Amino acid sequence: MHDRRLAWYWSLLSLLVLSAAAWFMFKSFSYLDYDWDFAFLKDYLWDSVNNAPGLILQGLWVTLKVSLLSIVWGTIIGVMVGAFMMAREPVLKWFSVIFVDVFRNTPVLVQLYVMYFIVGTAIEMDPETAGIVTLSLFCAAYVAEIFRGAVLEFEKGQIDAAKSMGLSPLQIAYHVAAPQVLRRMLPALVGQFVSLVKDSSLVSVISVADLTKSALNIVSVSFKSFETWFVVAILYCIVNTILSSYGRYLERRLRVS
Amino acid sequence: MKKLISLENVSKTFTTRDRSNAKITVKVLDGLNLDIYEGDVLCLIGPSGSGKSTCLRTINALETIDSGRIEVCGHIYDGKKPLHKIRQETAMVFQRFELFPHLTALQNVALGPRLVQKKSKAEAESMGEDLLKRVGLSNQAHKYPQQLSGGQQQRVSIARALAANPKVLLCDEPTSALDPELVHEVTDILQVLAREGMTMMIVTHEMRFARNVATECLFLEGGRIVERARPQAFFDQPQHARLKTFLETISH
Repeated sequence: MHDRRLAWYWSLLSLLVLSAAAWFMFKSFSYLDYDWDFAFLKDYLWDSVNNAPGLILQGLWVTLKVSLLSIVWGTIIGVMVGAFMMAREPVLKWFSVIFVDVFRNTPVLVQLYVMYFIVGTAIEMDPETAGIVTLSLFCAAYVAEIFRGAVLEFEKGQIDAAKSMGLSPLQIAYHVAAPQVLRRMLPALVGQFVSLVKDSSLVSVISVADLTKSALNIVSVSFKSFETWFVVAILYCIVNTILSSYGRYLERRLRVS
Repeated sequence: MKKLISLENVSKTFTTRDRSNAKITVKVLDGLNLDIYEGDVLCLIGPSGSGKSTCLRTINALETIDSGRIEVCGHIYDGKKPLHKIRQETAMVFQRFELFPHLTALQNVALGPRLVQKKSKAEAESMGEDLLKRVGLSNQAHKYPQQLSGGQQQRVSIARALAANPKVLLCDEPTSALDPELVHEVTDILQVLAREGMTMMIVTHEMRFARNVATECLFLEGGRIVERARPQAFFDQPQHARLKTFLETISH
């Protein structure tokens, strides 16, 4: 049998479905009969009076900082927890499994409340730190599973080969296992990081002045929620697009041939 | 002749569970005794599960043993010396090649010299180039393993094994994962190595190759050496009934 070319009418069908969706969206917006006004946001982006970043850009900076720190700490802790999950020592192993289950199966919102209002009160933690700690642990739970999955898939024969060459355990980990495990982790890891950037919006509930908190403040003053949230959504989208593009670039570079 | 490896009364049992979850213990090595001298080329032959591969893997300390004594090039496996130091005396070629997929052929070969023998990058690479030339692959040096055929991959892995300057080369079914028409690529090189005096232990199912390359052939079954003889006697006048039936079965 020969490969058949895809018939043209399938593309027509796709176009038809897409135009129906577009028409539906257009109808919804025109039905709204809303007076769109994006101009007022200019001052919130750049404060022309003080010639300084406005509320939105300040919020974006906090969001970037919280997300990045949580990603870095989450990855470090996650890899450790993932390794503990495979340990032979039962106490450490079960503690890690329970840690992962607790942080994956409860809402981040509740985790943030507990961390800030209960733990944070006991040891005097400011909201931002509480947010970063919570998100790091939350991220770590997912990274741990991703790491464990990648290691379990790793072939034991590769380790045997490295051992038979006389490499030390540390050399095996760094030169043989790490590059292969990392490559296998990357797609899932990038997905997790993108989702963490969005989840970081929840730190606004413990009054961290992130992008979402800025938006909430602007809306409460201007009552223009549509415009504000759209702009904020676009900013989240830009950050995540950059993140996932970089992830795809790394994937391509690490892929063999 | 210098004695390189000696196995004394080496035993090992595996414990697994069958379908009804009942414990079964399998004796893979059953009081094995074996001496290997410099220049020996021993071919290990036997049905699957007879302990051939396990025997090789214990020599490289990839498997633990339950009892017995193993001495490799003057080192005794007693847990006092780090294993990776002892393993530097031998090298191993695996059935499934086990090249590192994230490194090119040349990097695969140069990795050992760089990390174990602490050579400079340039030195390790020129050594790697020489070795790849020896296995006839100098024009494939910058390709990744998945871009090479099975036979080429196995030749790279032989070059990688030789890079360690091993006193003994252990080959665990080096041709079993190859397409039939590629087998000779690998057996040819191993025969050249044997002729050059490399001490080798080869687990193989290629009887013709074993007959050509071996100084002695060993027939294993149930973790014991059933018969040990020069190739001609081994194949033409087998003494034990079990070896006779084995040779008859595979020659059909």
